Amino acid sequence: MKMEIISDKQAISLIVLFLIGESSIFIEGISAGKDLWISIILAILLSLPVMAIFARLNFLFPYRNLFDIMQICFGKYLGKACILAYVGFAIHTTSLIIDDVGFFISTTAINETPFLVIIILFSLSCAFAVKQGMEVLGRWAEFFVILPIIFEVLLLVLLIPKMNPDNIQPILYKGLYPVIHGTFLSLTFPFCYTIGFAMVFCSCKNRNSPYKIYIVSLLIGGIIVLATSLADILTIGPFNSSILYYPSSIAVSRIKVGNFLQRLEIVSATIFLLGIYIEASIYLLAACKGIAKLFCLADYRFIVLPVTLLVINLGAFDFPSIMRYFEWSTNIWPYYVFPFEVVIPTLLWLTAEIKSKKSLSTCTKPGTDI
Amino acid sequence: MYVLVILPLLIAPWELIPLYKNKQMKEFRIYSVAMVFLLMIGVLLTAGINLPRPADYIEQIISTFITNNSGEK
Repeated sequence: MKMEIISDKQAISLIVLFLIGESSIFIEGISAGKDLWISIILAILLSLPVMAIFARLNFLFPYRNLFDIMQICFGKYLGKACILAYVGFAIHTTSLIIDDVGFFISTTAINETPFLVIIILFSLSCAFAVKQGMEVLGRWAEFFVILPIIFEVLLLVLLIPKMNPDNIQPILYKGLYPVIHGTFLSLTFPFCYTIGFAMVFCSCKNRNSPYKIYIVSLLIGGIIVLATSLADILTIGPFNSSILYYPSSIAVSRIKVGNFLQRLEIVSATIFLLGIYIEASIYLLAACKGIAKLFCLADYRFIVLPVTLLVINLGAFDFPSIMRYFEWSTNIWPYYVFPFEVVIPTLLWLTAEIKSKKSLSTCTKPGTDI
Repeated sequence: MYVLVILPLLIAPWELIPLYKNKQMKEFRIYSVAMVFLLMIGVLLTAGINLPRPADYIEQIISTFITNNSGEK
């Protein structure tokens, strides 16, 4: 199979879209309340080492994705078990993402259209993108990334007259616990959510560029997430943000410039759809690549449509209602993804360091061929 | 829900025939098993049977470790 190489700019665009997609309608880590901005800054700082781990793994094993690295580091059986766990995680996460799209569209825009129709159309378009491969996704992201950034800046500027500084004061009024909890939530989503990208990203043009890719995209995406979340809190307040399903969308709907520029929530919905399309496609790609690795197959493309159909089935029956979806994703989801996002990659990195040191020492022993 | 049965039936021949013609038998077998599994899920869902939800099992596992009632995604 042909090696899929994407440029640094394309990779950065993919991760930025990954990060800012869902933050255009949700506020992450809202349990921090008025101190949300502290939580997000802490989460960005804490996710820097995690990103460095992803980059280091890519640096140690160039032209290999996370599944290959698992098999190299953990051996055949434990490696396969890990790959199986990650495949399950990727499939379930894709179904959650398409549920997200389905619930958002059927709640806010087209109420009469059946939920199933929305998720089928969205998933099949993602399957089409995944069949084309990582390079096409990269080019797509490179082309579209500028649009959400311009929209976000536009929305932020237009929201300034509606902001109330009292909504973030006093600082640390409820103590440190809400801030720490909010930091944990922001860390699991969206910052370490980029594990999906790490699962499929295997090759770039320069060997040192993974560091640049992960860190730069985290900073760009983090600043945008911080700015949008802060703007939403300042506009509608922490209480409204915590009780609404889509607080950012509601905050944006307050924009009114004269009589001609209003109801701009469609702009935030556009950003959401652009971002979530990449998220769903990347997680679907990760699931397909994982299955291909599990069965030792050369190409993953033939399994894309069955996995998509599985995701559609799962999305159709996993959550009976939007209330259950939000309850689950609020209380359970962060703890469910934490091992996949932080714990296993850290173990993998430690094993990889030991393995690379060992191989280096055996290579440099006198009498051995280098 | 009928669409969950119709979709695998529509898609499977379209992809299975090229796999068979190219003699990719391993892929052919994996694809066939996956499609039969999907068809079964589709039929059960269309018949209105409540299948076990993965989210519930994940919740049970997580709840044994952590009891949490606050937070937001």
